[in-house]
Amino acid sequence: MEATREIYWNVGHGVVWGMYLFAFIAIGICAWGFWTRLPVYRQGKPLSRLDRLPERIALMVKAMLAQSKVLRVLDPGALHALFFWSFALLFIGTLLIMAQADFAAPVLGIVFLKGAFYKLFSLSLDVAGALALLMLGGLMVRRFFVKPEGLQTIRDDYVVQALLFSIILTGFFAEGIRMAATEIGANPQLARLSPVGLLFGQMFLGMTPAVLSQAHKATWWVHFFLAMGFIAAIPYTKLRHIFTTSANYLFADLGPKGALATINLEDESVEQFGAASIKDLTWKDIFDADACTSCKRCQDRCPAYATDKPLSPMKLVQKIGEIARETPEANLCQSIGEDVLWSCTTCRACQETCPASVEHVNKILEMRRNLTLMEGSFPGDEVRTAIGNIEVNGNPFGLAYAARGDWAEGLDVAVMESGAEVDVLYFVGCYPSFDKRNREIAANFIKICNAAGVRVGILGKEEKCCGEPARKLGNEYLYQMTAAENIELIKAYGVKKIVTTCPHCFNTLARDYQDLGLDVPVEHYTTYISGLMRQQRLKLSPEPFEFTYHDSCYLGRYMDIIEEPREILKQAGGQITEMTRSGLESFCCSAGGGRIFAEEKIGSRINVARVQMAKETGAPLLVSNCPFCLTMFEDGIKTGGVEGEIRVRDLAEMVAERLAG
Amino acid sequence: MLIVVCIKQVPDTTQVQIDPVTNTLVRDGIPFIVNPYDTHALEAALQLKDRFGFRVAAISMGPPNAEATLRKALSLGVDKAILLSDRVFGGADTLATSNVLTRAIQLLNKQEEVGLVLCGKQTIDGDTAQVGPGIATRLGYTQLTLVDRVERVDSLSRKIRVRRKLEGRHEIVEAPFPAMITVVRELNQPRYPTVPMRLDSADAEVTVWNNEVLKLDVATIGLKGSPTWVSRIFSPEREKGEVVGDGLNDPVAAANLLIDKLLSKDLIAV
Ligand code: SF4
Ligand code: SF4
Repeated sequence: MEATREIYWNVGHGVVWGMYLFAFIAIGICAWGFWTRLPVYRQGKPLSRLDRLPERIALMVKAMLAQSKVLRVLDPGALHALFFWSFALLFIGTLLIMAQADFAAPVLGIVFLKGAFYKLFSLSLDVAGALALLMLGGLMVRRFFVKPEGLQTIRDDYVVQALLFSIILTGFFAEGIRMAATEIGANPQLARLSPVGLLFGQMFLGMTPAVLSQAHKATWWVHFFLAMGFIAAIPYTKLRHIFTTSANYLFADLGPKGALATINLEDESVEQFGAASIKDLTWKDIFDADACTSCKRCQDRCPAYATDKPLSPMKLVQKIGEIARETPEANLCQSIGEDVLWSCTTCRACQETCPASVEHVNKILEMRRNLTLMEGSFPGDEVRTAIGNIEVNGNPFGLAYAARGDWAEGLDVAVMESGAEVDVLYFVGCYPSFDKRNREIAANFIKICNAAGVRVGILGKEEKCCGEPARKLGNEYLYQMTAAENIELIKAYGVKKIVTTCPHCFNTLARDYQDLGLDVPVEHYTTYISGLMRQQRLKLSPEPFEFTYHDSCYLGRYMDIIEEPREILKQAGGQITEMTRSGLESFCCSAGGGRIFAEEKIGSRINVARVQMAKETGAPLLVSNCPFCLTMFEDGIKTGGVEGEIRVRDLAEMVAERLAG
Repeated sequence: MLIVVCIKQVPDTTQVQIDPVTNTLVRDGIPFIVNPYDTHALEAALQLKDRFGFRVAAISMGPPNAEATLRKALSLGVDKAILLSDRVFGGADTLATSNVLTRAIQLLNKQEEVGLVLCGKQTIDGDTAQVGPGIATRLGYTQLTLVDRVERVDSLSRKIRVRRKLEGRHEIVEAPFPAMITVVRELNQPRYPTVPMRLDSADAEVTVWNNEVLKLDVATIGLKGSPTWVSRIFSPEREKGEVVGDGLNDPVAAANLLIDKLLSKDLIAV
């Protein structure tokens, strides 16, 4: 006898009408739920997120089917992925049965669920069901018993987990009863291919056919209605993420990381800068709230949250959704809280990790823009002073702009004004120009370039702050003001290539300035040095040292430059011990987002936390690649009381001390 | 009612150096700013505007490029900005400056009744603190100097009550309008210009009044009207600091001593 089974056994083929009716009702309720949500999204400003469609679809399929984003954190990503795959298989199995019983057989007279294929079908669905149940169990234990810090459990979680659990369970019961009645005795070999069903079926062996039939009918209908309930519940519970998160993969930001819309300050029709209310955000900003699965991965990585600031990127995103749905007229920044908005260091850890492709940082920046540009508000008076200084003197310290190039006195470096021929322009930035400790970075970088025979030029007193901290504080006006002056100069000198030692300058010149018309290749000194070494222009004589390495946010997460600096340090003789949080998972130094100017008044100190992580590696040396990080760690070592236990140095210093010849 | 704020464009003196040879201020490559004390006067006027709906005019005497200073005032929200600029005003000391500003305020008063004149307590380049009182005297206004708090403004009975910050004490005084007030930094935190205001101020009008408008006797203005004569500008020899207390063995007592010392020199305030 060929392996197969009777579909609609016991319930009878007559159920199809009722079944489809209820199915349509369930789908209708589901569709209605999403439909009524559309006006919520539509409150936002338009934004095109369907360009480059094939690329987007490919991204979506990969992230959905391969669960690639979910799996970046294995616990509990693996549970979710395995559950997803097995549940998807069960869903496909159900569709196959539908196609077989209600279409292929009655309309075309074809039976494909038979023989070897049926055996495979039967076995894989059974295994999938078991796996789904197991994974679900694991997820439940995690949520209800392990209760990881910060995980919020709401009504949805009970509903969803109970629904899924009972759907799978009733499925197995229905299968078991059917097998007890028709398969276990009649075709034990086939029954063995449904191992879980067999297990359930054994409970019912020995019951009379009449009882079995009643029990089966009841279980079948319960299973069916639970499944319909599942479909209907999707938009009203966290289950909505099945659609919204998938859609968010499609709507993902394909621009370079950290791209922020450049405001047209010349457009006189614009009266509102930044986001004052929900309608000043884009529809995608609102939609993100629905795509968020409350997985809290962003929150787990947020340096502000970790140090008891009022900011949680997860809650911020959800709050935006809440405002959009419930109080759309509300003042956005006040509802969320200024302290929340100012706490962000724009480290991008949230956005990098988010398995739902939520974009946190730009929302915060749009709200900061409103605070700064429309209300003239600042996170503190010290920041106001720094911003005022940039406006007047082109540097946050309020030091004479004419002294900007003084650090280079006596070094082999040309000032562009003099008309010298150079290979690269070194865009120095404020900290290496003025800050005593950071001047070491500048001087050592020049030393390295000299050793490689590279002719370096600087703008000297003509250079202005790149504008990055101002921009990240929301001050687009000041940013564009200083940027325009820098760009004009760089263009006037016909610069062919720019190198920076600051990752903030690097991102700003390489990416942000493009919108303002600068089109010159820009490199960070780490990749530049790495290139010189590859071309054999720069030779090091290694000298052993042990170190741990800090990936600055703007070099690592923003620019994906992770390996090159490590490689340079290894070639310089370094023996690395990694911190637990490194690479894309690195933990901010606290200085990003303009917070370098701000006193950290709330919670504990981020830089101290990071220095502590470095100390835990046991390495006596922390190497960084950013003037802001260097400043923060010098301070963190002092305030953290670990002086003498660990030192911080910049990569340029390590290299310059090991130049060959 | 109009509040007039007198503001001045000054070099950012935190960066000014004195040329050791010529003993003059080196102003090359030094950015100009609004005299910091004046920004507090502006803020005080704008707060009164916000609360009572007074109108605010900013006036400044200076070269044509001092217009930037007035634009800054416009971007903060003043209603009109008047630049008092003429070659014959140049080289003025505090007396000649007071004469020009006084006449300008009198002219403004003809257009719209002036209730208050606000000035910073002094400028950071001249440090004389004479111009505000000079104006008050010439206008015959009551003068309330060194104000660090506005206690009350009664727009009906037209009175203002303020707190003056004096050495080691405060004084609360009241005067009827019109009055001239000079302010200290503690008075307020100046606002930061919003971008819409900045953009508007770029197109706003800065009225220029020269001596054809003011019609002052040239003997009373500019270099000719200035009896003050600067004989020398120099950097003082830095006095050697003194050791206060024993920070190593009794840091608390040393800190207390230091605080008392700073208080007595009015370098910090309680
Ligand atoms: S960018 Fe960094 S600091 Fe800001 S919310 Fe995200 S994780 Fe937190
Ligand atoms: S925003 Fe992203 S990372 Fe954060 S909780 Fe939501 S889905 Fe998770």
